[in-house]
Amino acid sequence: MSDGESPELIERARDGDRAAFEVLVGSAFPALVRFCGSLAREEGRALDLAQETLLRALGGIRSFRGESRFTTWLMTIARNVWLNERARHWVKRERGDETLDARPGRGDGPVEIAAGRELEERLAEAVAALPEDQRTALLLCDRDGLSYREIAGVMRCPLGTVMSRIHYARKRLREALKAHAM
Amino acid sequence: MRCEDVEVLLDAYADGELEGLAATGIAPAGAAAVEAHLDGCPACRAALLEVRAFKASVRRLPALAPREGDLERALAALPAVATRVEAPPPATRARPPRRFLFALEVAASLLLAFGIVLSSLYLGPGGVSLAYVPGLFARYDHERVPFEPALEPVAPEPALLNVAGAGETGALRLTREERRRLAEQGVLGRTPPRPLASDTATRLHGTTNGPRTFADIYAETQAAGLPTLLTADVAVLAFAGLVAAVEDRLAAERIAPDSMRLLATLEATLAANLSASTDPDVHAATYLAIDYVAIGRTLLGDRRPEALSTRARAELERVLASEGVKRSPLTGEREDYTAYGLTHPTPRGMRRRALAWLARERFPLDRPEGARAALVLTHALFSARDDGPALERYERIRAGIAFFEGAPDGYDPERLVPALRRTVGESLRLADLAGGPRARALLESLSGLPPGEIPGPNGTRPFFSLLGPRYGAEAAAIARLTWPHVGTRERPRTRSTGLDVLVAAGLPGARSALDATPAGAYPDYGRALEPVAADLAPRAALASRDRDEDLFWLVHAARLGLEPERSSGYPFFATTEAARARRLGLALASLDIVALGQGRARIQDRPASPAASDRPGHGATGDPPGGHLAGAAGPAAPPAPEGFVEPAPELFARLASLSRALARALAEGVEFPSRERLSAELRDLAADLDRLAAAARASLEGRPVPAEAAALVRDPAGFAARRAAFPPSASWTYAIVLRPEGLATFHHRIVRGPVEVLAVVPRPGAARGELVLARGAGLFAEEVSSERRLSPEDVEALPRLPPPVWARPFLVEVSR
Repeated sequence: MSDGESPELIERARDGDRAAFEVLVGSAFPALVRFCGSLAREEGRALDLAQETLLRALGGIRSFRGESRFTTWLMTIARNVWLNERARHWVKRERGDETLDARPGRGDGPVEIAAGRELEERLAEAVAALPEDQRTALLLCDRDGLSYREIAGVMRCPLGTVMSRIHYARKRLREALKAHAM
Repeated sequence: MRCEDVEVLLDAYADGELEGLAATGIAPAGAAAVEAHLDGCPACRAALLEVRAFKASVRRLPALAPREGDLERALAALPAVATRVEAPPPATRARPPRRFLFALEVAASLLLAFGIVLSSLYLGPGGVSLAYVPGLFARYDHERVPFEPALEPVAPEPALLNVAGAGETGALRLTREERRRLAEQGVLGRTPPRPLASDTATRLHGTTNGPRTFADIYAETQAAGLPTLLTADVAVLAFAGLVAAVEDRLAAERIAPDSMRLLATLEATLAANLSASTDPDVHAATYLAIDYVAIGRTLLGDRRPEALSTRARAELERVLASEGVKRSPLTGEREDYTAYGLTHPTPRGMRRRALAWLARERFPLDRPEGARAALVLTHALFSARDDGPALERYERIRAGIAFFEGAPDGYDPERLVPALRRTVGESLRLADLAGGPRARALLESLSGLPPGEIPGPNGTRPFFSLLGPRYGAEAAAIARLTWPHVGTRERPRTRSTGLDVLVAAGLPGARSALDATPAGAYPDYGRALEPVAADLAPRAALASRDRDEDLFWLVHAARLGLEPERSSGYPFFATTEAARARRLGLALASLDIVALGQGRARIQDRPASPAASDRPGHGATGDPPGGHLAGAAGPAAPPAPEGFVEPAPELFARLASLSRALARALAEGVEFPSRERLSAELRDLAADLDRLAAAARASLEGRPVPAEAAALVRDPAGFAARRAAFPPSASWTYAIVLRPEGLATFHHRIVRGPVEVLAVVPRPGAARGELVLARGAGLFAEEVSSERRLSPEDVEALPRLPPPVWARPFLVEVSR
């Protein structure tokens, strides 16, 4: 239970107290936006996603029983929304996303050739190139500091799956970076 | 267990989850089994270190953060009453969210999307460049202002980026009259933009002018005709703003008057302490504090130490109190403060650890904050007289000061060797004193640190912490000197404190290597050290066995230093010059493009004929190749306007080279050798840019180009030919889009709205990446990966043109 997520607040929010809900959202918002950013990877769309998440959270607040943190609950919703939306509309585009870094020639524009690429960028790209489930698990673990159990909650998957997703995510990163470094 | 078995468990182990997973039967083995294996397996220990390094690196990756107002907007957009009660929503059939629909709609409206786009120059119908006019663009907000374009960072260097906002702060050097006129025309905002919050410092500002729609802007600029700003050359002005900002920063880096005053007061107080007491411990502690003040003064350099040091102190208090998971006052991130305190039972140990943490995690010296960290440390230590054996610390600080004094100019290799010599000489001197009580105490303190001092994830190594990445090269050099000492049987537990290394530098292998090095010959120095470093690999294994992360990295650094081309198996050490240069190149390229666009704007500025400006309906598809752009199929090129001003290529070259130097200066905290020379060049260039701007104004007003600006102006006689290469139209909206694929990560802008690509100009000598001339409605920020790029077929189908002659210098600069 983190800042601004006291049981009383949650209780009030569940009872329809809008102000309490907004306080909860206020403390969870940066993490939510960050998470949405890692899903949607474009600011406008990420904010859309966050917005939609809040809309649904407001509608579903009664079903939130405080078993997880409010933030991770929002993340769960956000990911559902995202997966649904992606399934409906964005399949092609997302596929495009995921193959982005595999495209030949990326990174060999003239400036790139001349100046090389910053390694952190490469890492960022390697992360971006991970399959969504691995990327999400990795970022939730390393960046958002969620426990495996919380990640399993957000991703609606077994604990062992979280473990393997994170393992394979890091493995891929390592391979990607080493391939770059060769 | 075999390595393969351990490998799949290492991640969970590093994440601290393995025990839990093993307890529930999900993982086949627990932490104890993994640790048993690690004890005997250097490879897996190295793998573990790597996993940890990855964790840390991933954590530092940039992430999307809400901007000011996002939360409020999001909340305001929620319905007053919750309309649905079901929790995490059903998969489909939900009401299509407005915002999603909008995004889709916009996406769909993109007839051609440009994957990776550098430029974002929008030229209005009158040829007005909106893209860099300060204050014109509010942030894209599709809730209220559907077609408002956005400005996103062009490159990640705030000081380079904020040029667009510089007009609001006067840095663009507009006269008051100019400002007033521009404000009346709606080109400049009347109110300055809000200051940047520090966490958004990488975002471009100068963008808030209230909720104005694109249509508003469009109408206003049309109604305003052609603002003078056009010919005043936004690029030139922007660069002048950049110059001013950098000069400012150069000045500020060295002198921070408030902090200096603070330190002076401290020093006076300390001096009074000295005379007020005869207690040797008090004296020792006071000297210590004075030394810290000296470090603070050496490193000082920020204009706003107050705010930051307040936050730093708040954070320090949290660290000291081991408060648990809280939000960091400095970074706003959640931080587990218990990690810094619990392993140290004594307040003293905690404090030391906390300070080390603060120095290392929050204030690496390669950032300006490093200087402020010194201040904070000064404060903290000044009030901590009971903290540790004073003599030890005194010596440590002395050695630290020797180091800093020895290498004040950062990266200049010419000066590095003498500095190292001095530093090493200092440690030799200390070693020579080994018979004396001081050195003995020193050595004892090095070899007999209590177990509580064994470094954890955040280390307790003040000097290497202070050295940080900035002095990485030096650290690596010192480390090379150190290896004969590290891991000897006598002292298997190496502490790698700064003093440790410095003293160790006096050991025979290192000393002979140093002696064999000609003065001032840094590469030779490296070669001479090769025998010393030959056994780095076993030492890396040693570091790995001892789970000594810092040592591991030092070995890595040393390896990289010796074999940069081969040994970058682990990449995080190499933050290269090239990368910095690249940032520069990008910032520069954006300026170039503005300049390029300005040239074009000038051309459009003077329509050839009414017929030429009445052809808005033509798009890419039906046009003959090169039809519009080459001017061949269009009406005859109009006579060249007299006095047209186009910056000379040499000026771009100067901008480029100076920009690189500036970026280097900014990236390295402005401590580089030729500060004065740079300042002088900046002044010269600024003056020339002023002259150029004056020439541009003169030309607009029909006056001849002033003689002193003649050399800055590109071949006016050849202008007609150059001009003939461009479309004589005054009524189209163009975006010049440079799309070298590799620029993706920094350049997020593409054209939004109905856009037609009119032509693709192949980049000279580049297989990929073209100048695309397009027409469209405006600009917006978009992640590169999210929109369709032109396929090779698309590109093939577009009309192709010879590269414009006058664009070549620009392109050459970009590709350099």
